[in-house]
Amino acid sequence: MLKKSLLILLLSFLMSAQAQVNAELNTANIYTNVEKSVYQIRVINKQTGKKSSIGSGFVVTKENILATNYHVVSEYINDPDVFSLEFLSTTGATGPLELVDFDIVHDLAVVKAKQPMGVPLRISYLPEKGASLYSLGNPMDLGFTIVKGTNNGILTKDEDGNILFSGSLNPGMSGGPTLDETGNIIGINVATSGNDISFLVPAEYLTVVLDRLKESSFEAVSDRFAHSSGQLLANSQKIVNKMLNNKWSGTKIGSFVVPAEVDKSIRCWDASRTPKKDDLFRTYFTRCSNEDNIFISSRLNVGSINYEYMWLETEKLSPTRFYRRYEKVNSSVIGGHAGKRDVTNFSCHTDFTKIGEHDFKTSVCRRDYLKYTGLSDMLFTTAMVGQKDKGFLFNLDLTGTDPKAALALFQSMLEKFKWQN
Amino acid sequence: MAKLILETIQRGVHHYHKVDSFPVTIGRAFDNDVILQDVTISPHHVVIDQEGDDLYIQNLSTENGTKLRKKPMGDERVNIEAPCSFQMSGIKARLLPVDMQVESTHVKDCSGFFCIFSNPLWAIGLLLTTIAMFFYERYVTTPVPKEIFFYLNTVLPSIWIILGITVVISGISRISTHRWEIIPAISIAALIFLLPQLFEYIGHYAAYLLTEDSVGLWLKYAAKFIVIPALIAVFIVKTIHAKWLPAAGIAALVYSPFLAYQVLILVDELSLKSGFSEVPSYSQTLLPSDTRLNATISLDQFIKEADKEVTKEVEQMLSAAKKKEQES
Repeated sequence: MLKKSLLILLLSFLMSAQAQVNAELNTANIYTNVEKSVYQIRVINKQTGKKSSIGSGFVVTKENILATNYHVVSEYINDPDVFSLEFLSTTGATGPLELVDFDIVHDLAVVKAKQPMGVPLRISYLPEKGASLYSLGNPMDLGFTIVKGTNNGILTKDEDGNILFSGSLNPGMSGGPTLDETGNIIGINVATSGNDISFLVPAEYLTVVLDRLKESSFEAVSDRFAHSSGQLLANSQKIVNKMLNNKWSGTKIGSFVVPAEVDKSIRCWDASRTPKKDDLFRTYFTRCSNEDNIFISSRLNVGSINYEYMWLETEKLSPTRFYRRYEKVNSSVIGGHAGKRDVTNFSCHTDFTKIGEHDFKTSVCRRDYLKYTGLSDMLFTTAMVGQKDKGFLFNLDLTGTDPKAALALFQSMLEKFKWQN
Repeated sequence: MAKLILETIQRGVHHYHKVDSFPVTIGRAFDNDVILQDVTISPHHVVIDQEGDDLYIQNLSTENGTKLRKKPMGDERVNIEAPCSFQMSGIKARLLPVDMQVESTHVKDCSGFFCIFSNPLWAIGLLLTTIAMFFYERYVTTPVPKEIFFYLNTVLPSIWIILGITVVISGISRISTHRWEIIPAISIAALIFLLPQLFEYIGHYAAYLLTEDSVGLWLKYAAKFIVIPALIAVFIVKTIHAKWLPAAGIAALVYSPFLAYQVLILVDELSLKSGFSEVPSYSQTLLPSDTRLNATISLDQFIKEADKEVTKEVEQMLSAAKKKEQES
């Protein structure tokens, strides 16, 4: 019996060691097979000839077509007179690149070289959760590397539907391919939160761009800003319409029942102040956000949707004292770093409206993007009035959105407000 | 009876000397008829003489000399007529006829509204009201329980500032009339704080009433730029009996350091308003009384009106920005 057990143990050990050797061989083989199709993508400042940012890219669909991230080449897309694009191969060869198309929403870009760049990598479906994935790129400009990690599936709460890759992506690997065990592309490296929490753009979004390019015989986009605006507007309308069609659950804040998470992409958090024994008033504060941004440039992000509810009540403060506090918190600003080169000033309209059988002082503010036609930042705010010892605030803001869709969302949310004692 | 009056103005103080006989000598030495103790005056500086009905002035000073009609005099005798002004070094002088009309007497005006400011009870009342206002403001803006010392600690500096302003204002009175006029100075100093706060309350109320926050902003500017210098001018007119125009000038001069600071803030605010701002400007005022002119409308109507108005304004801003870009 003891001999039999020892034999099983020995066999298990030998099998485990063999499996480890096979895995190492697979990683080495994958790297050898695709290394000639993976490049470093460089954005070069034309005036100095020096690189200002780097990322990775890979050959796909045609020998002279490379895919990368939009954010890798965004400086060049937004300012082609100042910057140019260049590749660096694993052998050290360099050459110019041209922009062909991009998907700003899913952070993808397709560029073209003048000469054949290698064997195009094939696009495949995402394997099952837990499967090994291999990510390639040039981290921190240190040289081409391969990183092994695990597929943890598509993020269902993420509007972009990115893949959660449990592996270590680092700056410079953005735009590089992530392959399955057969060496096919399943995703494009896009972001990391550190500690082996990384994100990949599913390769199916790249397929959409490549199909579009095949139809136009790989003709380069002419008006980049109009192209971006169209994509951002369509995405904003899609997201807001999806929210409007969702069945919203209600949550009680103070005496109001209001919409909670209007979509699975929205997360709500309680941000109420910890009550103290001698407090003269109480505050209940809930903040909701899609915690998502679409990268346009290093100083411009859009696509955020934030809303917050604040209920204030008192039994101890006089109306004057209570309203001083209420008025102080009745202030709303919009996030982001849009400056005067990006947007107009805000235009606002304020009036008194009936919401949930109570009077509210409501404001709508809008500012438009100067280069991205049709795209607006919208800020909505409403404050309950006429109650001497109670106050209720609702603030909603959307960046880079379709103003009509945003107004419809605001109206729908307010229509769901119900007073409940 | 004196034939003429010699007026000398030394460091802002007027002295009058009766001239009964001629010649009359003026200088620093003790053997002069008119002795002027000023180091810029020569021991024997000027002599004034009369021959028949004619008056003569002669400069005797070789050091700092004398100016007649703004021109330096030599050592010759010059015929003059009273009234006549001349300057001995740093001292101004006038030779005046005895029967010259003097300015009419200013009656102390305590019958009008200003009288209450000169009344000690009113002055103390205004001061206490202002201090109470400081306490009230601090109290209503502190929505947590605090001890009385917390309020005292924050209000005391403001009380010291009121007393400081009282000293400055009464100092103006002391310089010009040799009276401190402390009571009206207390009233004015209290009002300098009380009125802007009153304007702010009115502005806040009006902003909610009209659903337009800029009303409050304009009232705040009015308090800073008009009310405070106007109060100083009223003080000068009523206590020093100056005319309105010079009083306004003095008030502007006294207030100028604060005015310059306020102008800087205003320029900053206006440039922010006219330029780009990341912060939306909308009516944020809230009042417990909910007193307003705008009636409550339906949400549907509000959305339509808001959409129409902001779309129109943003499109105007966009076309202005495009025009500017084309021009540049």
